Amino acid sequence: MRFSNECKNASGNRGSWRTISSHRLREVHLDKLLEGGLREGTVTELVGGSSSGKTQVCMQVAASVAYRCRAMVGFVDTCHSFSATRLSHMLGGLVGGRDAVQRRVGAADEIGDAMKSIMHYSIFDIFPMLSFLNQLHTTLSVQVQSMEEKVMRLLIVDCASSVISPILGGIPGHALMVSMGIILKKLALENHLAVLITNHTVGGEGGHPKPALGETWKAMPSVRLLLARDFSSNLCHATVMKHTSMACNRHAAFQITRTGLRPVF
Amino acid sequence: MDVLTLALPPSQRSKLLAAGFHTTAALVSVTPFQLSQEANITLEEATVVLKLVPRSDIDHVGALSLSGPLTGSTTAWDLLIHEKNRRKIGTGSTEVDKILGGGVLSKELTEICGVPGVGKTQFSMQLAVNVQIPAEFGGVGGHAIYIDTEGSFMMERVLQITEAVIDDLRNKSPASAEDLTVEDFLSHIYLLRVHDPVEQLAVVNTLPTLLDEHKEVRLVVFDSVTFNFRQDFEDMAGRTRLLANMAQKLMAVAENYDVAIVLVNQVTHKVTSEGSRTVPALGESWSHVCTNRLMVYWMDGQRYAHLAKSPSLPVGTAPYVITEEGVRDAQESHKRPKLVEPHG
Repeated sequence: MRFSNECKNASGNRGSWRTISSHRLREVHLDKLLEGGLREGTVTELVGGSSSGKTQVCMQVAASVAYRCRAMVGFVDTCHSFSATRLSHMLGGLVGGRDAVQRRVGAADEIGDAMKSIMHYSIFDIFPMLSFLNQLHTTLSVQVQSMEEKVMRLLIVDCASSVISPILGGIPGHALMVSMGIILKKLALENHLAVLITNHTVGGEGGHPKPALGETWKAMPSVRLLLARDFSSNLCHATVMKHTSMACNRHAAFQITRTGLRPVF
Repeated sequence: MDVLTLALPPSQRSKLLAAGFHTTAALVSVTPFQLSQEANITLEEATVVLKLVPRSDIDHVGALSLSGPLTGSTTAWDLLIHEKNRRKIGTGSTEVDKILGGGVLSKELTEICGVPGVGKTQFSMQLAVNVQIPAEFGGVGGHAIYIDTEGSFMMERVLQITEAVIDDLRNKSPASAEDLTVEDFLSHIYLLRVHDPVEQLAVVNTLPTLLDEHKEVRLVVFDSVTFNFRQDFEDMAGRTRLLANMAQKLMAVAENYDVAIVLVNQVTHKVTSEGSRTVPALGESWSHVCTNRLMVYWMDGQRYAHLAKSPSLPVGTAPYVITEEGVRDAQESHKRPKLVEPHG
């Protein structure tokens, strides 16, 4: 059943709206918030201040997709925030079992398999980033899908504003930012990826933080989530700021634990 | 993809656009000679331009794999193995090392942030000495580059710290520590004195060359990264861009040369409707730059280090003291003398 769905996706005969597959993020409770999870063909943006949990959510999503959907995940890391150790803890939490004794036989292999399907890219500059995204687009477009190979389903860019902020204000700056937005949307739509990007906040009027990168960038993602961390209770609050088919200001909270993100009801 | 997205000097880009080459697809099937004729640029420039154009690797016969054309990719599994083998630079206090996950890690930017007088420079000097602890004693055995912007690097103090470290190592294992001398340690700290923002940016730009020449460097300390950027900047947006640029270059250096970068930051007061609170200087955008943030502060006459930001460790607090020998664990209470009022 699943294979036939993917056939339809690859040939592009059906409109992708009808054969959307969403990635289940049961652990994060964002499922309910986003009514199903991250959608293929859309760019989702996570906005939040410093240490609000953006990278934790990105890693949790990567772990979840790599393990549950058995798909390849691309993680573009522009600010040295990726920690493989932490990812392995999260995968341990997904696989189940508190310690090696309780874990079932073969769990370690499953974790290893999942980790091998998460590709990590360290890119710090805008031109290598654009070149990489374009290469990814051409490679994925011509790739012939076989039964054994894993397909890339999710692309994470953490953090998009680190590569764009230094060039804004220069002459080609704005245009380069728009180019990056275009290629991210292309990747989402034409290559059937779910794209997850993170963004910083900057001070706005009245001291309220607003997403960095300005008004033009704001129009690019289809879904925007605001993350805020409450240090006294160690909870992370996610609010929907923008969505194509859902009401805004819906809210969920989760806790960052040793084995990943846990929903708080 | 637009020709705009190629890293070209503006004059070449405008010549290409004037000749009608708007997208990279138009450049794919053009020879260097043709390009130089039509766009009115030299043959060498045309060759360079065409090298920048990404080509689909379908020309390369064989199976396409995702990691092939996308060079520079490693899997999370490779990173995990690498992370497990990473060496850490001790801070001198085992409690602080514990909250940092063993010490200051390479390939990461660690920020130390605190009020004046709490011990940031002491930490920096201690790290510059501790990075040289040989591998037999569990250290990294590398050299250090110390970039001093405030003039707070005191040679006599580093001498004291080095002597104390060598004494400690000699107590642990006299045989292996025999050929460690103070001169060796001091000669492996490369000191750079920076006086203004331009010099600071120049130093950051030339760090790759420096690190190429001195391949044993495993630590770069910036004390402090804030000082030159706090005054004389009318254009705050420009300042933020310069800082973001500097941060990017530092991250690339940390990644490519496998060094640990320690940035010392000052604090400032932020006045909001609820009152004022102490926040790290250089603004909200700078907070996103560091991988780990260590806030150091006073409380009840005792110094504390608090890990506020880390991708893999929970937040934690540890007390420490500054003695004659350097940064050490707080065994008994070392109260600050009551002669001076503690900073608020």
